[in-house]
Amino acid sequence: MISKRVIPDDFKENGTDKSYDEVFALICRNIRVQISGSRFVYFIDTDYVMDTTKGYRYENLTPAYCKVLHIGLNGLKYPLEEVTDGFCRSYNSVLDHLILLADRIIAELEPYGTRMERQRRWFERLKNEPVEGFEEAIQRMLFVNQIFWQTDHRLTGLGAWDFYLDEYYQRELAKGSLTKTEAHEILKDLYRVLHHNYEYKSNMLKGDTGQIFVLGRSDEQGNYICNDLTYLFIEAMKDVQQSEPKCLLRVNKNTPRSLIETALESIATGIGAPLIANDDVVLPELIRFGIDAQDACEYGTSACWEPLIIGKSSSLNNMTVLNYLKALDNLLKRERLEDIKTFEDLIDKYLVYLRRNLKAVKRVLACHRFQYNPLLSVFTEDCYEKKTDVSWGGARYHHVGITSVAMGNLVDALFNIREFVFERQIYSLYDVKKILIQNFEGNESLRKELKAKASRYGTDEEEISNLVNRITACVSEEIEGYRSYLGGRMKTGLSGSAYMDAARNFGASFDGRKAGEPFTVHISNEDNDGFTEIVGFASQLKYGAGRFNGNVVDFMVSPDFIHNNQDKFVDFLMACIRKGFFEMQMNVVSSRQLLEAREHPEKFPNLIVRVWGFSAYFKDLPEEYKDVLIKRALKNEGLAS
Amino acid sequence: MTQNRLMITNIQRMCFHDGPGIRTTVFTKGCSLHCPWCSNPENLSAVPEHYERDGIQGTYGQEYKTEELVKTLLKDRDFWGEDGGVTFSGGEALLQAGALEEVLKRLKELGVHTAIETALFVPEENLRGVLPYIDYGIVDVKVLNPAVCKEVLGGKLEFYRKNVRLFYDSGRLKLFRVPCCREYTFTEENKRLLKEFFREYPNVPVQLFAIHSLGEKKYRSLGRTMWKAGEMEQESLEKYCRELKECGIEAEVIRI
Ligand code: SF4
Repeated sequence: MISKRVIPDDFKENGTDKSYDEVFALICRNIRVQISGSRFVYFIDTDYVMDTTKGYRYENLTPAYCKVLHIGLNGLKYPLEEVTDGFCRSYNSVLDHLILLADRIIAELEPYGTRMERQRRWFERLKNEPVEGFEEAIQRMLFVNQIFWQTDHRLTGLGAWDFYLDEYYQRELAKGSLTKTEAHEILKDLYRVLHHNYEYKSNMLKGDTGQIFVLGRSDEQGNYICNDLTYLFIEAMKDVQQSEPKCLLRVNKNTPRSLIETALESIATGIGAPLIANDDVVLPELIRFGIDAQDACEYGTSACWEPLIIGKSSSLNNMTVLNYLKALDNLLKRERLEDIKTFEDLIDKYLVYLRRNLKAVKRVLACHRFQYNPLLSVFTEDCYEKKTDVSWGGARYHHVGITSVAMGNLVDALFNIREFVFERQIYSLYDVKKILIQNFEGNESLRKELKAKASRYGTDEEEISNLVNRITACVSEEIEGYRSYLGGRMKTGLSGSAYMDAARNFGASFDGRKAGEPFTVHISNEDNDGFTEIVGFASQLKYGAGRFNGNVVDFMVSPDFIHNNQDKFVDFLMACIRKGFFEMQMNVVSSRQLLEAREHPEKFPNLIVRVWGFSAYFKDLPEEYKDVLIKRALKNEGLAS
Repeated sequence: MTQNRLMITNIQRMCFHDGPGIRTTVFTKGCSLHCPWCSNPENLSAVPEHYERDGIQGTYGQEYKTEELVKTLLKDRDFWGEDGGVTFSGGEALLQAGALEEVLKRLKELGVHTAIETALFVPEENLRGVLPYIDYGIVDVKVLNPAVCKEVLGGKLEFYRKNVRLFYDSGRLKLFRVPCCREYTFTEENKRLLKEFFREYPNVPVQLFAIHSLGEKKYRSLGRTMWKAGEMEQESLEKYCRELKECGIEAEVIRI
């Protein structure tokens, strides 16, 4: 985590922690209300933050912002006669204190007189009335968002604001009280206020905030639905040129070309967004997994790319990381290698070890219990009806997810072993084990040879996708029976943010990677002859049986390549959707620019790059992340040595 | 005699420059010319060649059976859309006319849009055989003074001219492309000759591009050095492009 949380002493009494209700009340009563010059009131008092360090915290979720649009805060409460237990009391207490906070804001706005008259009215109305206008709707959802940050819900997502706001936008357009150009300006201000507290909101690296708008959608019949705001959200993001918030665009094969063009124009500026998710592939898998079809149509993602049902899910999609190389490493270190006579034997044994690793993952996850969280319960559907906190199963869905790393390294390593051990018989498996333990010392020429081979992961040769599908099917089988303490199932995917962290203390691998060097990033391959190949590969992968927890094809694209071929690139993206990728993101950078920015950061203060699933300022990244990006860009441009 | 193998050096997927739409470009090995600015030295000799690059050794050139090649190309079919398809480039693809004809025929049977980029310094029958199976012809236009052409490129201009006419009359010649370098193709004399030449073929647009040194690494990998051309000014290209347009010739400057 980037910024340390400041937790005041008030939250303890005689050394013991106060209850959730007491702490939440203190927060609403005591945080500093800050009014800035913006049209929106939005602030986080970073010196007075809820302590979420004990137990398993909720993060990486998107609250049901829309709950506050059609009704005031008072209307969300349980009527007195229905307050039957402690949960109902906590639930009402949260809402009472939100009203108290709204009153404090109103009082602070008072001295500003007519200048902040509108804002004062919005907060007045927040207590008991539904939203009337476009800006008011935004203000309400911002209020919800800020309280989530204040209570240290990390990586709080934003959700489908193009849909939540459409009703108010249309109403005001019809009335003549708003124009499209004004809406565009308002959205730019929205991006700006959400960019405040950038560091506080960053999780592992600066920029990793999880603030993501999810735009566009499909209905159950496969029709594509978008509106003016879908376009405006992307255009506003492009215009403000900040690293975040960012957006994800859901598409299907019926998405209008003009929307893809708008998305590409934004991507081409280098901001790394929108990330694109393909409903034609994602939706059927969600439904097959047991998610209600209508709910599935409302999916968003946790922070980066793991699908979740906005406002209806209460569990985490990145509980832990599965390192695909680990089982191979275990096998080489523990198995009687002379018994492995063929490549098939090797794969069979690999799967045995993989299952063992997954069993360990399941054991660890089974121990997790989430923290009591009435605030999240207020903004999660079904908790009210069930009178149950999210941590006791109040939400509709509680499926948990794990991410993964190193599938690319594993596949390359396995095929290299096939060639060097079983086909050319230059080495035995014992030799391979020794070479890896010694980190290629004394075998530098072999390492170079392995490194120089074009990576086969991400090529559309059938044997590659067959192997990957076989391995992930084994994972599916193993996690099939898992149930969390709330009855949630487990999901997995081929994307993960830990390609650096998980690799740091991991030994060498037979793809030519030395100990500690980073793993490959998501579904990527800079050795490919064209982007069509990796999309072809992604379309051959199986995403069913829980394998949909984020599967991002990740490209490096040089800015010239897009700028000189904008039209054809749109054709390409549309063909990709039809072909069937799951998700896709692009880093539009040139190696020349990155190299220069590393030397002279002062000249590129606003250069934005895509890191794992978020955008960040290049200057803010640790050196090792900069190196990975530069290496990938050089390779993509055919300039790597 | 039909040959059923094609010697190629690369299959480049997702090309945006070698014809309409999104294309897959096949680079064939072997060329009848030796242009000083050539950026594909690995495509000059018709036989496989050993190379060493950054300490790694390998071979340029791999033979593909025609069926195998077609199968590989079809992997990108879903990306080609209505106007995209396959382009053959080189080297000089027409030097392997027999095998090329087979591949093209097969692609046409499958309804694939086909294109060729050629320098056209080949025997006329090589072109005649494949012509019915080509939808989109891109013809390079280089040095148009016969003596300089013979001396510098090593090709007989009269063959070239005859082939261009044949291609044009078939209605399948869709684009001229000129690699511009100050020393040979962009001299005052050649610019004049080019203009006259383009006038002979109405309605064929022209693309001009400055030659580049991207092939340098490949030269080094073969133990050769690349010829160093003088700097080409983008503005001089633009100016000539305007001149062509003033003569009613559809022209543009592209970046490769
Ligand atoms: S025709 Fe093309 S491949 Fe042949 S030498 Fe000239 S530039 Fe090189």
